[in-house]
Amino acid sequence: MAGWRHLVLALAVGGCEPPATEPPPVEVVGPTTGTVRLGPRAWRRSVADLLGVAEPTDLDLSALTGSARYENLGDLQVEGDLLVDRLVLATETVVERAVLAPELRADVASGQWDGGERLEIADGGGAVWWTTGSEATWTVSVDLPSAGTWVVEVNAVRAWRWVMDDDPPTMPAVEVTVSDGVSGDEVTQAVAAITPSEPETVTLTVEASAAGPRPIEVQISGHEVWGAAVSGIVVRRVRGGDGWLRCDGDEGPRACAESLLRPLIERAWLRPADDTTVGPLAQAVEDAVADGERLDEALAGVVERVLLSPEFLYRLEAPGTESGRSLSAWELAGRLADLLWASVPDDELVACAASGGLGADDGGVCGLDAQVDRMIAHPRLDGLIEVLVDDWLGVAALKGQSRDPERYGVFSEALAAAMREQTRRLLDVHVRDEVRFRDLFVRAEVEVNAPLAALYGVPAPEGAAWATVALPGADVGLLRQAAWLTATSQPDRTSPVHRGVAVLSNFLCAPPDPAPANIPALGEGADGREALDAHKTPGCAVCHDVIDPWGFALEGYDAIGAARATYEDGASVQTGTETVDGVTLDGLGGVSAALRGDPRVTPCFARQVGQIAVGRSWKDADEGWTDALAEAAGPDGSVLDVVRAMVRSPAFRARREVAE
Amino acid sequence: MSGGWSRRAVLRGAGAALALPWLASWSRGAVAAGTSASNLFIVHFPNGARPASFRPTGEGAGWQPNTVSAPLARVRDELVIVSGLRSLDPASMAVAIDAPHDVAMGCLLTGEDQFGAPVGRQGGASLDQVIAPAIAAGGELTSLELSAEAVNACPFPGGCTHGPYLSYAEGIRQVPRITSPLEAFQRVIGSTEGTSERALWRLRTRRSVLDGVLAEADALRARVSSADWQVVDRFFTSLRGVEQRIGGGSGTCQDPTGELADRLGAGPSVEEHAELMLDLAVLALSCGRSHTVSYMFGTEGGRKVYTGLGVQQEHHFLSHHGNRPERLAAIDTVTTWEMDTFAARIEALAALPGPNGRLLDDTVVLGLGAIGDPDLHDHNNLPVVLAGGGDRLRRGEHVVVDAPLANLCTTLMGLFGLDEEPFGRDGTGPLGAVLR
Repeated sequence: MAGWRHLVLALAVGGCEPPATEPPPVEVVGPTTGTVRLGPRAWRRSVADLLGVAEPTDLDLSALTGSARYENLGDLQVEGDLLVDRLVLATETVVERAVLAPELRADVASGQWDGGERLEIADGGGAVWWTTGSEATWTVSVDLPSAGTWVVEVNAVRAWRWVMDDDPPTMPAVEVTVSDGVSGDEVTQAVAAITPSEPETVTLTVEASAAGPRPIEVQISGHEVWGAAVSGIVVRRVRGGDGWLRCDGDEGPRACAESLLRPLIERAWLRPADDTTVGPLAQAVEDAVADGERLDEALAGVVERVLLSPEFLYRLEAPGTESGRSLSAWELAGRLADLLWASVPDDELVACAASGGLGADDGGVCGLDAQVDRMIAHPRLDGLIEVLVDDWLGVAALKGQSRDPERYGVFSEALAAAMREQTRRLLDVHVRDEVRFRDLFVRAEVEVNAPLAALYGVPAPEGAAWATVALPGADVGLLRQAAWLTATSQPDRTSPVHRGVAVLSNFLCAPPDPAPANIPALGEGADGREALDAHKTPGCAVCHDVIDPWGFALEGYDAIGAARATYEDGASVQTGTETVDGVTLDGLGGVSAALRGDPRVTPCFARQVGQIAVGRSWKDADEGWTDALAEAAGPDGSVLDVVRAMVRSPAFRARREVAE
Repeated sequence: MSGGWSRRAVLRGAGAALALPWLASWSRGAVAAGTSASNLFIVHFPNGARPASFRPTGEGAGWQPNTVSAPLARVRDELVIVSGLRSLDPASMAVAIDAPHDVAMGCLLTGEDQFGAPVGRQGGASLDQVIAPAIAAGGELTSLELSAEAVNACPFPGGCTHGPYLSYAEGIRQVPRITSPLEAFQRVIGSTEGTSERALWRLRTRRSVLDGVLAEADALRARVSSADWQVVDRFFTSLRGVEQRIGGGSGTCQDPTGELADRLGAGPSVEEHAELMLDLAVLALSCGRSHTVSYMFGTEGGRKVYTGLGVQQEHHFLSHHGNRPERLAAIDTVTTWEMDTFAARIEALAALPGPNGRLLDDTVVLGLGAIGDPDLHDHNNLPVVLAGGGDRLRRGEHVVVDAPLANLCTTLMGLFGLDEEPFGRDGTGPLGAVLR
């Protein structure tokens, strides 16, 4: 065992040259490879990157979630009708957002009116027109769902006829000005129309660099008595902004479709978009347009077709071999993007895959080290950080959690979101600065906003700002994070058991056996260790003697992570305990110091990275290659040292399969 | 609620005379269709019902309602209340997640341990999915699954594997459930005026997209490993299912007064969302859009906040009442409202015409919770109410038994003419006590 473990280590750090045959065979050291499907996070991030839309966090993707800690563990994913049903709906929704030119309407009854008088007049056709006195300003905020080029249209007529029941031949035209509150761009038009069924349209083009509310102002002026009447505005997107939908159809629907589909397919399907692949889809667009379909609707259909293909939804690599087949450059690009970004490759990585240069150790820009360094420095590394925060630390469970309002009145959805954001920032800094991994358990600096500052009892930054503060004393580090302390608690009390199990499972890889069914409920108001005497009964003690000390030592923090010295009934909190192995744990400081010094911590983290990278849950047989990652990273290694060791390892770069 | 229409006002305040006009207009489709098939209507009450406030006193025809079951007394002649039913004992299951509501749902109507392979003759399918194909007339939706709670963030660390799902295909596979009122409306009635062009485009595009993806299957099979193909093949199978559901015919139901579309457009509250989905369920039965309809007031373990009932805390949170008086009061308020709302649909089914008189007589209604006392996640003392079923059920009675719920499933299969074989893992045979 030890012998080949060293071989892996040597390979991983480049200490020995691979045999000089072509293609280089890979040692049988890696895991067998299973079938991996995109989990909810990877799906959301991938479609956002592919389509240039905001991450669709509002869609119900729970059917894509397996039962595992990590979303992409293929052996624990559950397929079925439900999954496919939801995928179809989610795909349609996100493609409609990205590809169809949406129309937004703002009613005249909304927004802010200043000046003049208003009369509300129904035109008989169902629309309501508002007319104003001689001068008036209507300001309305339009919520743009994405960046891009938008056209604002305001329909206007002169109001005289309605008000006076006559149209004096000498009446001058009125003026309507539409302006964009962000850029200041405006358009002024003289309006002479008098019939609501044939209004004049004042049109302004707005370039939006991001989604979000956009103030639009409509100024009406001109006649001394009565100005214009408007019936609300329509806002249409005409072109994607930072999105991929860049063709207007000027070059014809087929060429437009091809120019959109080639890069999309290469990034989504991880293979060259040759003519036999793209041709039929582009033809379908041309045919649909010829049949009278709108271009954007026809494009939506083929984009859905790309995103509902198993080639996008599953990691479909060519079959492996029993001894391990080196991945192709395309396959390697897919795995890299999945591990580091939880998404699809970008254009540069695709170019490196297409050239075949990815993975070559030639020191070029497409070399593995160069690309990994680039990807690590890229903002999309937030994908890996999100995996660590939400899945590894279990902070995803915070979303939608509630707390007993009598005990934890300060808890709210906003506070829970701030907690998660705080932990995300902590990991972001610790990972990107490449600080020693195990120092995460004793890191004193945290970032806080005002509500979190109150929770931690430290000075608050101003307004909505975040500020870095150093927590005093020994009670610091990852486990001091309110997000972790809350996610491991119950709605109305702490759970020393949950916390203990989380420590043992996530940081030491020593999970206790699963709990038996039908555990009797705790009594009313149960909290902390006092209520857990039942654990001392012989059948329960086997596990709880191992679990509970870790949780008891953290009892100095309540179910939303606030420090406490007493329970609700006034009893004082005792946090001095001893593990079953005889390690003294005095409060959080003791737990953090114990974890920082525990030799199991980095190998355990390497198992987490190994699972995420390979897409399969860790098995005992994987111990060799995951331990090798920890050895390669070394005792002072950072998170990214472990990740780099993973990427260089044969486990990552080969596909191994055992024939059935 | 916007507009002048209120179900409550129609059914209770104004009485049957006023109720009939819109009920009759709903039923035109059914009369025209001339269907004679039986119907199954299942309603699930999430987070159980406390026996202490639900279980009636007295047995047989002389039962008296408890506090939360009081609304059921309104339709007592139509009901059989069954006490003493239990679902699978968790101690007998290979429970692998710390999520008791998921555990309770997975076994409820399947009678199977979802953590193991199915052992019963139904192969892990739920009662409704076993009966649905047998009573489908063809051309309609084989079954319609509705819920009034969207599945968003999962509140439990174990994942919301089963809590949002009542129905299962063979192999204990969750059947998707429609939670959006608009989607339910479109599935039952079709498009609303004004959105029809977009809806038609959507339908057309979906069909061609699915055709295109499915056409890829053979080429993919040749390129991937056999292990990968096994998974991808399952994906294609499910995708074919989606395609077939699209092809299941357009809605024959109508919304003649436009009431439902109005309510849809009003942006329903939590309570109105539930009522609207229930009305669509009853409508689907009345016009033969589907003969098997199931409805969930919310996710088992779900977290709806019924502010319209004056309740400010999440349903699941309240269900762990710890016998605190204020939580007991709040959870009972919600359960009472559920029973009231449920009773109103029994009244509606009784008022609607069916092939043999009343639609209710041609329909078996099963209302049930997956747990008894929610504070304990108790698999015993489940709240169970039967209604309809013609003259076969002991209507008007409170029947007290000590039996697995699976035996009631066997009895209901018999009511639909299916073999009365033992159901699921612990069923032993029919539950004769509920029959005349």
